[in-house]
Amino acid sequence: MRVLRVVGTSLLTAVPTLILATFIVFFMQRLIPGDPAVALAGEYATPERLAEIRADLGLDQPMLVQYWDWIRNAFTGNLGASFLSGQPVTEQILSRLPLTLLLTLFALIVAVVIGLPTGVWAAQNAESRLDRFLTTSATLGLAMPNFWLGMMLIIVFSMGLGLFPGPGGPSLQDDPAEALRGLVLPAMALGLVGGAEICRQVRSAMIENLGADYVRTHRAKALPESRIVWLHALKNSSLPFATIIGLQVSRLIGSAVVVEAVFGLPGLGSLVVDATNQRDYAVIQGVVLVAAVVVLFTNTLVDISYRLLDPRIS
Amino acid sequence: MTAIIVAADSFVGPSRERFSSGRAPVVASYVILAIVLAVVVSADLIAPYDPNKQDLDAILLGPSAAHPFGTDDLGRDLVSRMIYGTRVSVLAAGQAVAIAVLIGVPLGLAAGYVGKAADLVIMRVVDAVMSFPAIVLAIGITATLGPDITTAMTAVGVVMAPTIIRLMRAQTMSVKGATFVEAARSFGARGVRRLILPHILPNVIQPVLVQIAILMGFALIAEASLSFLQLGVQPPTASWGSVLSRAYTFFDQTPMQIFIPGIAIALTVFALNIIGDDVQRRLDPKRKGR
Repeated sequence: MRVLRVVGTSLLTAVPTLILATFIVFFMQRLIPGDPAVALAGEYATPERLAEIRADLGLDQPMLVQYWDWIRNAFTGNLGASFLSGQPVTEQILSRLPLTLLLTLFALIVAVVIGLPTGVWAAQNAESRLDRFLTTSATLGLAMPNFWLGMMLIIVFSMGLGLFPGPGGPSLQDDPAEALRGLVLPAMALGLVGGAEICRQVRSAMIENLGADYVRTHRAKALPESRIVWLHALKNSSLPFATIIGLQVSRLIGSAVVVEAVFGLPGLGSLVVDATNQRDYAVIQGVVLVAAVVVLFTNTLVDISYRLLDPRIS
Repeated sequence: MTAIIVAADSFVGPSRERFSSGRAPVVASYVILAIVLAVVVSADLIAPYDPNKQDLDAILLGPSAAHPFGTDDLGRDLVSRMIYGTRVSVLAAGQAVAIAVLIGVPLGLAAGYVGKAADLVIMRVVDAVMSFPAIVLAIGITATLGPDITTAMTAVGVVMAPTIIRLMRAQTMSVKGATFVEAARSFGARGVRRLILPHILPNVIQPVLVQIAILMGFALIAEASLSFLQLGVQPPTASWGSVLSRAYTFFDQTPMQIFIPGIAIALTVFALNIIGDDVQRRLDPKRKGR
């Protein structure tokens, strides 16, 4: 029963944010300099063609009517059609989304596998040489643009050692096994930087917990240190950990867009980059909206886990 | 017993600090930042060539005495392009941070001090902006307005503003009920000019200064990302991102050229983060000494 109530509350708080986010995406398109119809059809379009486009896009309607039409369509999965190919935007996004989500998931796994243990070790040995080495490395990791790190990984592991495929592999639909192998390096490029962030955050959460009274009590009753650290202190650091994961998903999706461009992966990133070069506004708008929905969905999951983990949050 | 503990404490305490190499990265960071700023200021004086001058007889050269970093695909000297690129990248990042601060500080103060409806509206919008991956929203805005570095960095500034709003709001709320604010009020201080600017702002701005260092790093990476996607700096202008983008196109011929801008970005962002951490540590009232 409590679970249902918690899920309900979290979903309800996400709704106003989602509505505002759709406003932002809608008004973003109103930023198109000059007349959007001219921007879409080109300077040499006939007046009839321009009128047709305005009617198609509902540009002759009041702003709120336009928003309402757009949002009603968006909710039924209709994000309009590409101005260039005429292909439905939803279809294009759905064909690219799995790859980007898979890449984000792999990157998140890499980030946690690297960040969690190093963060705990650093906290266990706070202010020691090991700690300084780990935190300085983490700061250096954070400073690296992940798309540049991706290039470095290509030079070493693809061109140098030939362990993993470089840019331009097959798509997920054509050859799943080879496509997954092609995701290893981009996931590393994203995950190493994410891991650096997780390491820093886990370290500070763990230092706080390791200094807490309950840890002293556990030590006093001679509980093995490894159990204190990896079980009790880590469990009590789970709230900040959930926050970090939520933030990471948002960052990783953003960075994935750029890293995909480096690796020539046919995900959301290359879709939005191509759309940008061709001024395909409907596609740009669709990708930005979908990215926000994915992040909001993750944040809602984090929020639910928060409320379930900590009974004090009502 | 107590004496032993005290002795042990003083042994593992300050002495370990003194013997560790913990200050080395901090000192190095200030040096890196000083060099970067020096290059920004004196780019015209120290660049050996015009950064946009092409020499089609000398394309994609490796390092030599005449061109220590080599030349790009149009025969332009990479040392000169990196030097001018430093200026372009740092100024672009500075622009984004300035916009974030100009939006974030007043809105954060308003949300924290006025509270109620203002707080509710501002924070809902902040939540909505933060529900977009920052780079994706910046790409969306830039793509819509047309690719250009000023546009791109304005967009980056807008997506960074929520961080400052949240920080300012939390700070303002924590000092709003403080005794010194009540004292000022009891003397009749009200409003922006007599209460907020002279009494509240100076007491809440410190963490924002730390955040500026961190955001500057974020903005440098954002510039590189957007210019790499050809949404930022437009040819022939050099920036760290555009040099990197160009080098990547030809990286099977001159792979070493992508190291130069990448290392410049990584070192500068590293220095900014280390300095941010260091300043934060010094400002933390819970840490004595140091």
